[in-house]
Amino acid sequence: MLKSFLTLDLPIDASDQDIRKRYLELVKKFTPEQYPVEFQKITSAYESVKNQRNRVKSRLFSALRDVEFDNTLKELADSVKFEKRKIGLRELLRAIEE
Amino acid sequence: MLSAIFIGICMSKKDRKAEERAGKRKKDSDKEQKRLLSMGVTELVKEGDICFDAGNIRDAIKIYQIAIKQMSSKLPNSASSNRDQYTKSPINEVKSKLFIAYITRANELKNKNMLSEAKAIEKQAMASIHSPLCLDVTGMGLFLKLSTPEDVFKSYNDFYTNKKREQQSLDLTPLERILAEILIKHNCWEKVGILNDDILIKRDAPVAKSAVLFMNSGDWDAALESMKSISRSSPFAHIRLFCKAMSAFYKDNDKEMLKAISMIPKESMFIKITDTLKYGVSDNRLNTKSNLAINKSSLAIKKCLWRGSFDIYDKLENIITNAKKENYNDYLQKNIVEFATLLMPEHTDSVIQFILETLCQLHSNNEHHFLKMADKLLKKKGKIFRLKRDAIFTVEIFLSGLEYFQYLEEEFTTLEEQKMAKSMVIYHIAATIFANRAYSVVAKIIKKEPRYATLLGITSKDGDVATLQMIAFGVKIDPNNSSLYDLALKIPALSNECKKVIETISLAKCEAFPDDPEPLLQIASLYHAKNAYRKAESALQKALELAPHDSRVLDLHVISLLISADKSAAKKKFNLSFQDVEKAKRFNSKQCAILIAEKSIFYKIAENSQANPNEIEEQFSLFSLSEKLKCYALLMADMEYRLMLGKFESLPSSYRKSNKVSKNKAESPNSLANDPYSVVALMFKDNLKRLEELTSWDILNLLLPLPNEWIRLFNRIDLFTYFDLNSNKLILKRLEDRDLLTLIEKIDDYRAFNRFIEELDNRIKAANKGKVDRKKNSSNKSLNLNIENSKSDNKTIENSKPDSKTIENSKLDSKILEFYKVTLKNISQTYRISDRVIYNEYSELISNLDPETEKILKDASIRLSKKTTGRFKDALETFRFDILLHPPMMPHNLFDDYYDDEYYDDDDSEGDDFDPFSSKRGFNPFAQLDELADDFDLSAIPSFVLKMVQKDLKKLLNTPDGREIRKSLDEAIVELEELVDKLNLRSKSDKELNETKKKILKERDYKMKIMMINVCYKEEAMKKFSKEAKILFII
Repeated sequence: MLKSFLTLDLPIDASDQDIRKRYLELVKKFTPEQYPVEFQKITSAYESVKNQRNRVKSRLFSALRDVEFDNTLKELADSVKFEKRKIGLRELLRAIEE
Repeated sequence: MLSAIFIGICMSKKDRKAEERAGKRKKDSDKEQKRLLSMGVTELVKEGDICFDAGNIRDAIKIYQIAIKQMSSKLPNSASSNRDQYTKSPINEVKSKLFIAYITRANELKNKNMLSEAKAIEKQAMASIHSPLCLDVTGMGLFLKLSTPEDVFKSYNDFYTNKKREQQSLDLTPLERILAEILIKHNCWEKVGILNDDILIKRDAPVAKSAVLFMNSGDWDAALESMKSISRSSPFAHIRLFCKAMSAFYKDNDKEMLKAISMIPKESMFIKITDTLKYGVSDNRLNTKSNLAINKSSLAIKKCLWRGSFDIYDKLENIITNAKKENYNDYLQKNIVEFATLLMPEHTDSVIQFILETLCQLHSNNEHHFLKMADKLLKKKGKIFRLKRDAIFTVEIFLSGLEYFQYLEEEFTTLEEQKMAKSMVIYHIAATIFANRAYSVVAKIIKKEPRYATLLGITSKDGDVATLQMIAFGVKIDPNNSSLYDLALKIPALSNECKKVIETISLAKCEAFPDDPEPLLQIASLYHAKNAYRKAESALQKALELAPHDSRVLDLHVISLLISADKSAAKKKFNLSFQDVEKAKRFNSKQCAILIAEKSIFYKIAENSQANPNEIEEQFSLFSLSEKLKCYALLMADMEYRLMLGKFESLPSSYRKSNKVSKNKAESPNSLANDPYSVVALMFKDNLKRLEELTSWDILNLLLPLPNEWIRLFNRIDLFTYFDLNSNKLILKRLEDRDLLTLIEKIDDYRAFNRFIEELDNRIKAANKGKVDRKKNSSNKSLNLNIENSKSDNKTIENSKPDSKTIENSKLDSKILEFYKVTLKNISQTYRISDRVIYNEYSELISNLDPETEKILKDASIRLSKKTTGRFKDALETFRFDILLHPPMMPHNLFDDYYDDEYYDDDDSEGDDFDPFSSKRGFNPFAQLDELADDFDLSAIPSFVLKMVQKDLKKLLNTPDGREIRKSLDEAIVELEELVDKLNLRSKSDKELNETKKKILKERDYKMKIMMINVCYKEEAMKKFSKEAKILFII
């Protein structure tokens, strides 16, 4: 469930409406024709958290999944969020020197 | 002392060897030096170039140095030397080469992080030239990069003047690009004044200067806009491209960004930045730019361009390494917290809980420390974590699951979520009970701890009823939990109490999902099962309103009407039967068309006590030959069933004449009008003579079992017996290989197995002898032996006459046929031969299989496993026949370990329950004898009476009349074997089996079946029963 929220870039207490809204935004941006991989990831993340029942089930039994723990944690790390920073030339040139 | 001497000797040996090596190196070096000194300048320069090109920079430097020394010694005087330093001369060319070699070497050292060494080499490089004017363009470029901003412009101005004087057309733009970058980097725009007016950079400098202001503020769009006038040939052109790349980067326009980057010269100082920009372009363009964090190079630039958790993989690695070593220490805790914070700073607790739950998968041996760490990390929620973990991973599912209920409010904020969670936990408990067939354990727990019964709404003492009541309780809490309904239908229920609870659950489902016809169909089937036809009809009517075109609804409705028609016919109210038939016709159900036609004729025969062949012919005229044959077979089955029930007084005499039918071929249907069964049987035989007109698919359709729902109309679902496979060998011969295998999978009747084995054997022999040219093409390999696929594949065949080519193409690999043959043989003889023999047969058969055939056989093995029981079933299911050689393992039972010691009481037989008997095959010859079950006692029958009865019954079983009884007894044997599996009784001790036997015989349903097998079928049962079943069911 955590991975799904990270993929959708939503807080874990997001409502059904928030999730739906975000999903529609993302699938509009990442269309299946242009971005099939991303589209599939978004859709599968949405399916797993789209309603309250799925979310409750996930919170209750996430530990039940028969998975390799290291892979699961790596998937989480892979979902980590990076945002672009507004940066000027001077700072960039300083970074080159480092 | 001796050892010291020995070490000394060894050391001195070692030193001697090192000395020898050093001496050899020096010798080689001296030799090389001599060789170089003996060479001419031209040769030396050539050799130096070769070394430089080969990346052997140190040697190149050495050679260039020797060359310069030789050249200097030949120069006449110092004055000329000074003059030459400004002009193009051979010595200056070599000096330029040496300078470049020095700088290249310095860069090599920088890459190795040997910065001070690199600095020293750079100094040497600068010292090696008296003036930069002696350098070529490449050398000058390097010189400019090393010079201070104060010197660089003057040096370039001199170089420019000098070079342009020598060669007007020389392109110095690369050098001016370096100047442009120095201007931007050091903000020394006033130095531009030093330059000659014709130098290109001077012209565009003011534009670039104003753009840099925007660049420094991060306004890349404005910078790009202000550099609009910069031409492609300008020394500032690549800086404009850089601005374009940055602008595209912030606009997420990767294509434009990459295009701009590709045009920036590789030697530019911006390349480090643009290379880093590319990290943002990955396969996954959502949040997961994991390569940003994984690759640690250019980290400083990355941190400038992005905001994010660059060290998350370090934390992850620490967690994984420590968790695998089970080091549940402070360091691991710290990393978990930091990982969680980096991932979701607003929901750290949830991430920590998730990580801990995931770590539960490790099944740690250091559990105490793990739980201690969990307590520390989760603080108050540590207790909830423990309960959840125990409820999911340990045997304490019942206790922990129920205790967890108390904490639902802490875990879930809204009441709705709490209800959902509670019903999900109930489902989890019930599903685990079902999966482990642990009903008897449930009964024991409830008996011991009545508070659990209260907590779960349980009132019954029987395990299966209690489990169903638990499900009903979950449904009451959260009616939308569809998993609970599905689970309830999986639990077999024969007792009325079970049926009542299932009915309650199904009704709740109808209420919870009012727009879904499925629960209504389920409830209709339940009502049918308890002969509540009016209620079933009402449910079906509602389903029809919801889904008027759903074929399942229509079919079930037709069946319901025909059941009602049967009931009316049994009361001789044929007008009502015909009315129901007319109603059934209105549904236009394709699947039930032949059923309606058959019933229509059947009621007419029953009403008039005679059969009119013309009328029958006309009724079936619209059907194809295969459909007609099915109708006749159904008609015969119907008559036999009603006769057995004794419902149609007019039919018994004619039924008995059925033997005569097969003998008297001269007789015509019309002459037998008053003998309806014979009429129908003769018509059936007449049509059967046209067998060659049928395709493989037609024949398969005829022989396949009827739909399960039809069982209530005929009390049987197999029709293949009417086609007498032993006499009519052509029937199976006409089947294509894959259809034959489909038929084998679908028919569970042991009586057909011998004929199947015989047919398979013939085909295998034919293949091996090469009588038939088998084409092992790839299409055969990928054949799916499922009936569904078979259906679709044969659509084309259905309307065309079969030709030999079509059949030929459907031939399968003889290995596949052999596998079916061996499996069928072992299913029917499992208890006669040893497991080792079976293993040997399979090990030979499945060795050296190609992957495709192996997959086909694996799938087939799983399907065929349903026909048998015990370890042979396990072997087929897993496709691992070596398990037959190993000592039997105790079946895993989640509850056994925990409850056996504490609660199990061998003497306590009260309140025990057993898995309800599956009645999926439906036909139960003892159904009418139910009332006898309670009083039936085999030991009470005098032995001579019993022997007489058994003798008569043996005779009866060998007659055609006895075939139904034999079939039902075979089914009972299979079902009792299934009971052994369900109760996990395989490999149990004789003592345990005998204890269980006593309990089973207290169950009315089982008792009757066991008694009948012992009276009628003991000899056969002894052959067919497994070791455990013999102990349990043979008296």
